[in-house]
Amino acid sequence: MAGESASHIILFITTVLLASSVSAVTFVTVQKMTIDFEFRGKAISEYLATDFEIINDPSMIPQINGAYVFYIKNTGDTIIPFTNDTITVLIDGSAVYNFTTNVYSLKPGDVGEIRVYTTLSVGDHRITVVLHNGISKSLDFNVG
Amino acid sequence: MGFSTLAGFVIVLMVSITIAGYLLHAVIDQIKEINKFSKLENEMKLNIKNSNFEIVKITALNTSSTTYDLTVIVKNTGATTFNCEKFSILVDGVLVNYTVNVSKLYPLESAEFKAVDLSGTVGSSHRIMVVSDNGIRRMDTFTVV
Repeated sequence: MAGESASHIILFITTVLLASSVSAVTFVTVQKMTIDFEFRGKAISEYLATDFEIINDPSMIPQINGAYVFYIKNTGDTIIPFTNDTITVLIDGSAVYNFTTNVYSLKPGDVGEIRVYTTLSVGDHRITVVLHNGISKSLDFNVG
Repeated sequence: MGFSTLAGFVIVLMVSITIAGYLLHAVIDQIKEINKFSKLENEMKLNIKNSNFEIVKITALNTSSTTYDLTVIVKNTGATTFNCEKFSILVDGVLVNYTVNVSKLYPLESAEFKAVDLSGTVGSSHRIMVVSDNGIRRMDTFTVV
């Protein structure tokens, strides 16, 4: 009788421990999934609210101190981080690393400058600016 | 044996309900957030579709042998309101500073943008590009008189 009770208690404790372990593992997995959902949701939301334009006159790109100046206007609803680390500049498909920006971030409606230090031949070119979240815009321009 | 099974079942059931609630809450929150920004994106697209403006008049009067003052009158010909302080004006490809007589440009109304001390002699021709707050662009040319 006592032996039967002991085996019942052992079985009960084992069942409770097993159920708790399975539940804990499932809970942690779901929690990780939820955090991942939140990150993805935020990224999608930010992506949807971000927009910008390269507003230069395509046939008159200003040159200041050996740099071509491109104007970027934030036409979206979020602040755009605007530094060498957060944006990528491609000219005619090749990445340009020697460029500067005049501000650290662009509020909605603001215009920022990208000064690209490069030599371009006379003729048609294309600049592509890629933001931190992958949104990109291009402008075909002419160097006279 | 029966009580152990029941206890295990109750624990798993309770945790499952908690997890389901937790997950549902997180998913609903994210759907709401994405929906909000999706609406915003649609509004932005609609806003651009309904926006339009025209450069009505450009006056460039010389103030010295090498400089002139520029006045540009812009009319809102669309159905949305522009924020005039967020306009951008480029003269010969260079962004210029300006003052404007109104902060909001309502449909069918006009705004007067003024830029002073720009470089140019009498008779010289220049290109102007006006960009609205939502990225709509209009171009024109003018001669300094």
